[in-house]
Amino acid sequence: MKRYGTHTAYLTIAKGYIMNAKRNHRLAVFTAVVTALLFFYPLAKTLLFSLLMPDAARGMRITLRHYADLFFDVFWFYPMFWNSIFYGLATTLPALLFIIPAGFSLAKGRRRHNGFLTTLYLVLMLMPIQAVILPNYIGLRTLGLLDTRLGILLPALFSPFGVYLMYKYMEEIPDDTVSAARLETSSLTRILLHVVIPQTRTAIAAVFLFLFAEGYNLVEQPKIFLKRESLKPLSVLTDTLTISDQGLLFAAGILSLIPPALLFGFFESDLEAGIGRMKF
Amino acid sequence: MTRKNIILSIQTAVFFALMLAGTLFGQRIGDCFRPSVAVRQPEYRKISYKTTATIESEERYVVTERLSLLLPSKALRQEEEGFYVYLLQTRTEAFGTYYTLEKRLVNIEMQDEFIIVLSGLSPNDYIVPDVQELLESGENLEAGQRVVPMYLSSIPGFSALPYLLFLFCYPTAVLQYFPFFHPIYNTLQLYIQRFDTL
Repeated sequence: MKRYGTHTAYLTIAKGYIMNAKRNHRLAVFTAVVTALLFFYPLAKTLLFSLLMPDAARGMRITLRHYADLFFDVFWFYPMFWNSIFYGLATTLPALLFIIPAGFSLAKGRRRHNGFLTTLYLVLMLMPIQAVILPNYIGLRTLGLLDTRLGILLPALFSPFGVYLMYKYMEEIPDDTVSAARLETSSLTRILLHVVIPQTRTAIAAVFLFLFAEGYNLVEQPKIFLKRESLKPLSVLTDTLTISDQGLLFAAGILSLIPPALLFGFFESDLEAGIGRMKF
Repeated sequence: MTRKNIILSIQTAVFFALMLAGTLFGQRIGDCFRPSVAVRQPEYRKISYKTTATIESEERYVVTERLSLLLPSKALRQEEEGFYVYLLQTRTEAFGTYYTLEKRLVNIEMQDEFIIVLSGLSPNDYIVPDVQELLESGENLEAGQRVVPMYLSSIPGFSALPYLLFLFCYPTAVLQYFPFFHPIYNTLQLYIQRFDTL
């Protein structure tokens, strides 16, 4: 009886868990749907406004005119688009050269001040861009790099966010793996290339995606460091357009979404795996 | 490579190919759909000959018979508020040059064989003499509208359809972007401009 009673009690508890799980599942689905709608709303509005045009007779009509204008009529769209792609790639690819060794050093190096350095990276990561943009401006002015592409690229090469992500991921690699590799070779570069990087491919993909999105969507830096219109990326096109060109603005917004969306499609599984394995 | 990745690769290739094609040929395609206006060669289309005549103590530009090419009668149009001409305005911006039409009222005096422009024009104004033909052909031309200046409209067979069909091999576009062909292209331009001034 006692055993039976315990069993019943266990069943009751299990039922409770199942009910709770069902309720939690419903709540999770509801939250996910509401959040998705909230995030989708600006996108839907942008898409809608890119297709609408004022019409004297009907008020508004649906047209692809804004896209046609963007493709065939305005001079600034294509250079700005390629500038965005350039800033996205040119800030990301060289940055990975610094991020991977820095993350490896923080995670597996046996330095006395690693904890302090990690905290410093965390503080730098949390610091808003507006706080460091003035020192960056002064530095670039001293170097004579204002109003150049290099002025945008140089400060973006060292990304504390990327280093921190890589560090958290590399922490999960067992120390024994690195120690075993050290028995084979004394070269840290070889260990990094042949042991660590193959294991951290998903994290590198995740960092690449984040950094590309950051470089592709630069706003403050081009606005402050660049004066020449021909160097500006698509993310600051509100400077170029007037209020009468709203349709063009929305159409350009939709088109500018495509490259990051394609990139996300490529690295989706890597991103999920990379983020999933990190322990914060 | 998974099926998803193959589809994504194709989408990416198509998107970037379109953007590249747009970068190289987008403006040219756009030009096909814009009204084209013919203007004279620079040395002819500028009012470079300036004769000052003192009429009521004012400096005036006198377009004599000798320079009638500069202001042909068909360039002069009349409305209720007076005579006006269309001028080609050039505005250079960071990413290129915009050509627009400006409708400008001019004050003229007709004296026998002379058309004396009292006010409204200045030296180096680019007059568009062929607007009349454009209006007669049914184009809804407005002041401030983007136009294609110069000779493009004079190339035989130059229209949107062949351009779209032969996007990647149409001679004018190819010649534009390959320095090797520039001498040929320049010769073609000269020929067209000469043809235009006849």
